[in-house]
Amino acid sequence: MWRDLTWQNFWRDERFLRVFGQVVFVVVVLVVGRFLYVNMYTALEQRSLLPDFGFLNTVAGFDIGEVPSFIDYSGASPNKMAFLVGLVNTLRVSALGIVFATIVGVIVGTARVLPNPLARGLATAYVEFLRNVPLLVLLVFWYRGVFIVLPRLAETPLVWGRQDLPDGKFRAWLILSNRGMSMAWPVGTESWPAYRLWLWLAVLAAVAVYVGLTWYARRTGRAPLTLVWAVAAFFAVAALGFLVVQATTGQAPLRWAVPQVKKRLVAGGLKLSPEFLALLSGLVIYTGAYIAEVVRAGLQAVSKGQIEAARALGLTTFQTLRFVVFPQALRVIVPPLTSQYLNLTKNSTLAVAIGYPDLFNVAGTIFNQTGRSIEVIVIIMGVYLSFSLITSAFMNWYNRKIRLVER
Amino acid sequence: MSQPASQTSTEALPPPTERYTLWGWVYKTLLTPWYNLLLTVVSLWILVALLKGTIGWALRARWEVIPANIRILMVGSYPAEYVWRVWASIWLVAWVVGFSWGVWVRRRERVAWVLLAVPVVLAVVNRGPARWYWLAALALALVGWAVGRWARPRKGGVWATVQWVLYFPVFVLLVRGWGLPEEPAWKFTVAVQLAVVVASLVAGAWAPRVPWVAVGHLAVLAAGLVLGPPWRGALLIAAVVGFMVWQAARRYAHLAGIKRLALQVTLAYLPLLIFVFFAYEPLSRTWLAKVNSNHWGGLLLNILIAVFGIMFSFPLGVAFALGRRSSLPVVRLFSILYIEFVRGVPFITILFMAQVMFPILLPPEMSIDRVVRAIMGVIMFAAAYMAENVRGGLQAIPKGQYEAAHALGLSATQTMLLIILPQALRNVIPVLVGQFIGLLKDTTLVTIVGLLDILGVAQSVLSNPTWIGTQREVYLFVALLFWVLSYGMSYASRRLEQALGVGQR
Repeated sequence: MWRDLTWQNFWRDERFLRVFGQVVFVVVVLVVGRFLYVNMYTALEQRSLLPDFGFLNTVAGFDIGEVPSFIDYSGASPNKMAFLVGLVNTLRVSALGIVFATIVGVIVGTARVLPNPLARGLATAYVEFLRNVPLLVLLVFWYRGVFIVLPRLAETPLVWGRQDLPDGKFRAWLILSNRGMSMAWPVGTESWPAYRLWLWLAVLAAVAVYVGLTWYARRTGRAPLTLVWAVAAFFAVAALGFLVVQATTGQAPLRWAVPQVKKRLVAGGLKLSPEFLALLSGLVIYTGAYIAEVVRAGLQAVSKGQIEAARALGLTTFQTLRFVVFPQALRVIVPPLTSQYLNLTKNSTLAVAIGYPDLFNVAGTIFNQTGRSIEVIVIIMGVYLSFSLITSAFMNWYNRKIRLVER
Repeated sequence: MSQPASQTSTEALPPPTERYTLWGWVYKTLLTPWYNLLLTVVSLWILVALLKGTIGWALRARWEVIPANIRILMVGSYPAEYVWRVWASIWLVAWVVGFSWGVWVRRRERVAWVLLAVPVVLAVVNRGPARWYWLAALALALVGWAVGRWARPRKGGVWATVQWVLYFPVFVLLVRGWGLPEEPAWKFTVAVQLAVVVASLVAGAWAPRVPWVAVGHLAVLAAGLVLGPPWRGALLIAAVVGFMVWQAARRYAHLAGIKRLALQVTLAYLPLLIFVFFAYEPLSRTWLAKVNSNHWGGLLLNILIAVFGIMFSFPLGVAFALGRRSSLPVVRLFSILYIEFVRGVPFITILFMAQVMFPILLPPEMSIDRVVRAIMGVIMFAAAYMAENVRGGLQAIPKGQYEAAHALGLSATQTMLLIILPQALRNVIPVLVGQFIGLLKDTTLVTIVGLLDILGVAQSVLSNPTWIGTQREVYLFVALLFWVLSYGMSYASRRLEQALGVGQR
């Protein structure tokens, strides 16, 4: 079996094999790709649907149930406006969902590590139930089983803060019916433009306080609650401005727009459709359960010895939390938390099952109208891919920032 | 409790356990300090409100919608005369679960009673033959448990693993049925294919040094090309598979078992031929007839999609995981692009793409029906996540394992197949179970692309005028069903992990 080791057949040479293997791989991928491409080309050519993004400028010709107030959309608008509406709707439900799911998740996750058996049991039941149920079932249940079977407006809608008005009308702070939810919402009055200046001033004040305190902290080595003071400065200036504007112009810059019901119509206030509510609440309670697990894991990752050591050094409970527990827990929490946020955004595509016009739903409608499959798929996948690319860019940045400095 | 430690023992004693009276426990955990009391009050309020609302509604609900539609919810439009095959797969799984329990857990545990309660409860709530079918499942589980306990642990463990591995193909085969092309030639092509493979095995095992067998494979290939369809495809497969079998047999010819295996396979060839020529046709015509995928529905469809998804995404995922860790830049780049692309987009867009794009990407004569397209979408999706899970397992293998394998003279392929992958896959079993559960939950999304899975069936039930207004009952039933399946699986897998000591070595 002896071979001369100084010379090999070239097809046994690893350097050759590596290159050869990759070439073969590329050739196989190209051949398969070409096969698929040729089929696609002929199929699309027969239907005269060769990829062309010109359809973005043609008239959409369908109405969308929920159009954000700042977009001017009607059935006569071009398809690209429809896409924009869908995108904004996706962003709206995702952003709100992220905020509320975080609140729910933090509360439930904290409850899961508390010594109180009742609270812990309740939180555990919540998490274990929701994590083992498909989101789509939950959403459909929430929409068809809860929100659209609420009492009708003409009957007895669920209201809060009802005031009866003459001729059968009434208004309330919050009205919940099968048509969705209406609630009181602040709107600007004529003195609003003057107040806007004050708001900018408040932002400036907050930034100034933040920068100043950061500088102070670096100089003295103390640790003031920078962010808290900055937010406080914002609200202080904003409140001051409110009073000043009210005193000078004689009119408050904001007033409550209270929804008013007459027969079967609601006017005024902020209106939320049942589709939006069902999607939002479904996403929030579902993702909340996952975030609760993330938070729990983060809290349990801080070893007990750390807390005991901090206490032994004389730190107060608050200081222990702020300087010892949170920084360590956050390091564990943030990476899975961002992936949960991303999941929530991706899961918002299930809106299509309950008729909320998010990006995917609108794209599906446009596909049905125009038959432009490739273009529509490219657009939706591009949007969601860029969401995840942005998120992973943030994650990389964050991981680099909080990486343990090893000595 | 542990044994009383002797005075000389250097083992640390466990810390003293705190003991309370009942009132003391309540006082300490629920009532003090004040914020804890507040928490207790709030929790109690939530609990009471939830229970009051739920129970009040549940007593008035029209639950009769579930038994009235149970068959369509479970199996959709699966032909009634073949439903027994679904039952058979339930019986098989009852047997396998009982057997594995007997082998791996051995003790009677509380969980065992819970698991046994499932068929008992189902037997009680069902009427008619279904009750007896569930009792049969119960009996099989008990027999399996007894047999598993009686088996020796080591051999029993092997058997249990083999049964689990075999179960899923058998399940698919039972539900889908058998069916091959109707042309009369297929029996001969199959016979020749089998002959080529058996001959390759024998040649490789008995004469590993003879390289000219490959010429035979080339000849088979050439014959296929000359003869044209249906021989072309059949002989192409025969030549490729035969070549691979031959190579494998050559490589392992030094092992004692290989000659025996070759002999056994050769002896099995004749009965196999008899089966193909005489028994297959009646079987596939009568009681194992193929049930087309457009008749799969209800929960059965969800489970089938999940099983197919896991079965096929597993090898694909392993391949992508290896590709992502490959030292070949092109392969690595391709794998990274695929994985990150699929993980970056929502599942429903992949399903949508599978429904819309596959018919365009493939030539018209290769049309695939909707269910299979959905399954392919699921496989594409699951493979990317599977790849990441497997990669996690691969990363956990210490470098020393590679070096030791290298030092023993194993080739890179051998190192991967014999040393690294077995350890890596064993470590990710819990994650894979989690992924399977997630996949099962995700299969409900096929409703959106128009398939009649359990959610789609539920929607059609609810559009029936008789059952208008029973949305809550139906959807809650579906949710609870998934809850029982997912929670049961994750619980069982956790118990099995403990019993097997996964992740503890």
